[in-house]
Amino acid sequence: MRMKNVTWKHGVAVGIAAVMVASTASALVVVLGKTPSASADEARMRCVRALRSNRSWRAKYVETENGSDGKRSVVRTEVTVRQPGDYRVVVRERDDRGREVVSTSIRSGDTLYTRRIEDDGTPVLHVMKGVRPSLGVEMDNALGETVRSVADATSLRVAGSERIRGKAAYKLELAPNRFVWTDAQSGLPVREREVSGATVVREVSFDSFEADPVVTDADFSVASLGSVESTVVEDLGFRPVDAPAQAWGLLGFKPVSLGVPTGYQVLEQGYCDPSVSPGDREPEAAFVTLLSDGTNSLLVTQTLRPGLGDAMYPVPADEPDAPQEVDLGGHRAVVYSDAAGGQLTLARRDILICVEGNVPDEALIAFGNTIR
Amino acid sequence: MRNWATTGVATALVGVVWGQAALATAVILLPRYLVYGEAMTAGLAYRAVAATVLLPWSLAWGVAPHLGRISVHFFGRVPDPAFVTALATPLAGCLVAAGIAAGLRTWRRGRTLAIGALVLVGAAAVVASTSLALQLGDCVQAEEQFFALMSLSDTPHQSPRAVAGAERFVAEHPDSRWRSEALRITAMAAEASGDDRAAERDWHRFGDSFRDPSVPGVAYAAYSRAQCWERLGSSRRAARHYRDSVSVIQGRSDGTQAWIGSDGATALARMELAQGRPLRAEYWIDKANDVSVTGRD
Repeated sequence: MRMKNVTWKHGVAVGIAAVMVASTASALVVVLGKTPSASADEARMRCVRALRSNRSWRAKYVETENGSDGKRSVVRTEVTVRQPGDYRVVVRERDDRGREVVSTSIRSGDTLYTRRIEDDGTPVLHVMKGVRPSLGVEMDNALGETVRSVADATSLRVAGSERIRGKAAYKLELAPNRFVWTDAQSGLPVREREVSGATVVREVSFDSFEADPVVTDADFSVASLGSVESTVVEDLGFRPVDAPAQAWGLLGFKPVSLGVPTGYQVLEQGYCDPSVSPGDREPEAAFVTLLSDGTNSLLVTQTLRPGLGDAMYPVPADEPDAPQEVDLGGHRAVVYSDAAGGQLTLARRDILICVEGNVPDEALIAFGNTIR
Repeated sequence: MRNWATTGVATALVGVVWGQAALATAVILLPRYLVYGEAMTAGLAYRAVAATVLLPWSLAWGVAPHLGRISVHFFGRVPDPAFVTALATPLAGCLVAAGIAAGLRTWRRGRTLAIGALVLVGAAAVVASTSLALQLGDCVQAEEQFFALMSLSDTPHQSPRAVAGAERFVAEHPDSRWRSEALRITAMAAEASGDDRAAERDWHRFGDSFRDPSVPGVAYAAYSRAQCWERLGSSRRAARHYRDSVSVIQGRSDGTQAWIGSDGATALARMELAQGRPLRAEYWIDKANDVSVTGRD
C-alpha cells in the first residue's frame, strides 16, 4: 500500500538526481585527475618532430622480449648519434650462461664496424661494407623505429594518459596489440609495448634522451672498439660513384637523370652491384641517390621493372589512407604520405623510381617534376 | 483473482513465445559461430538458455555479440544433456517473465509496463528470428553452392568461373562466415593477374573478416598486403604490414603458421638493409630465426 504514495513524479525526480550526481562525479574525475588531453595527430606530430629536431643525441633504452617458448631476453642499448648516418651503438645483454656480453657498433659512411664477443669468448670485428645510404631522420635503432611506427600508423588514437617515471605521458594505440607512450611535454617515446591478450610480448623502455651530447672523434674511431682476434667482412654491394654514367654498364640499365632542387646537394650516390648477393638474399640492381639541404633529405631509389611502363595503377579514393595520384607533366605518379614524410612513386621507361623524404608532399611532387 | 489469473496466463504465454523465439534465434545464429561441419547440438541447450535470458537486453541495447560471447564461453563448459533443449528455453523465458512481473507486483503501473515490454520484445524476437531465418537459409544455400564451385578445381583462383562465383558470394553475402575464403580466392586471382592494387584491397578485406585480431589469418592478410605494397613500390607501407604480420605470430604461443612471422621478419630485414639500417636488419634476422625456432609447425 505504501507504494501507492510513490508517484511517477518521484521516479522522475530520482532519475534526474541520479543523472546530476553521475555528471558531477564525472566532471570531478576529469578536473581532479588533471587528465592531459591531446589529439592523435597532435601527439603524432610532436613525437616525430621531437626526434627529428635533434641532429645529435644520445638515448638509452631497455628492450625486453618474452618469447613464446617462455624465454625472456633483456637488451640494454645506448645510442649516440653524432649526425644522421654517423652513430655509435653499445648493446649489453646476457648470454645463455648469464654472462654479460657487450657489442659495440660504429657506423662511418657506408661501413658498419661491430666488435662482438663470440660464443667461445673471442672478440671478433665484423665489418659490413657497402651499406646503402640512409634517410638520416630514420635512425638505425629502436627509438627511430618506434617514432617511424607512430608516424605511419593509420589508425592511431590516444588511448589515455598515465604517469611514467613520475611524468605525464600519452598512451597511443598504434594497433590493437601495440602501444606507445609519449612524454606529454617533449613528445618523445618513453615506452613501447606489444601484447598478445594479457601477455606482454615485447616492451621497450626509453629511459633517457640527451640532446647535443658531448662526443669526441675518438669515440667514433674504429680503434675505440678495442682489440680483436679476427675480422669478418661482409659486402652488401653498394658502390659509391661520382656520376650515374659510371654505373650504366654494371647496373644493366641507365638510371633516369634527376634534377637537384634549389638548396639541395647530392650527398651520396651509387649503385647496388647486382653481382653481389649479401647473405642469402637475392641481389638487386638499384641506383641510389641521397640529397639534402642540411635539414631535409631525399632518398631516391631506381630499380628496373620491365613491363611496368608508365601505367602504374588506379588509386582508390574511398580509403582513409589512400595514396594521392598526381600528374607530373603528363605522367602519373603516386604519393604516400605520413607524419614522418612521404614517398613518391613513379615509373619511367620500365624503371621504378621511389623518392622518400622527410619533406611535405608538395616538395616531393616538385622534385618529381624535375625527373626526366 | 481473475486479474491475477489473466496476468499469469499472459505472462506464461509471453515467456513461451520469448523462449521459443530465443531458441529459434540461437539455432539460426549458432552455426555461424561453429566450424563448418561441426555438430550443431554440442552445448546448444545451455547456450540457448543463456540466449533466452539475455535476449531482451541484447535486443534492447544492441550488445548481443558481447553477451553472446560471454554466455557461450560460460555455458559451453557445461556438459550437454540434449533432452533439456526442447523444454529449457521456453521454461526459462517463462520464469524470467514471471519473475519480473512478480517482482513488480506491488506496483501496478510497473507491472503493466513490464508485461507490455515483454510482449514487445517477444514480438521483436519473432520478427527478428523469422527475418534471420530467411536470410540465413539463403546464405546457407549460397555457401553450399560456393563450396561446390570451389571444389571443381584445386586452384580455384585460376578458374574464371570460380573467381566470379567468389566475387558474387562476397557481394551478396557479406556476413557469411565463409566470406574470408571467398576473399582469399579473389585476392589470389587479382595477384595472378598482376592487379596488385585490387589484390591489396581484397587481402585487406580478408584480414578484416576475422573477428579475432590474433589469429594467423590476420597475419597472413598483413603479410600478403605487404607483398602487394612492395610490388606497388611503397616500401613504407610494406614495412608496416610486414611488422604487423610478425607481431601477430610472435604473440601466439601455439606456433601455428610460424612461417608467416619468419618470412615477414626476413622481409623486414631486407627492407631495412635497402634503407641503409643494418643494425635493424640484424634485429629482424634474429627475430626471423627466433620465430621459426620457437614456432615449429
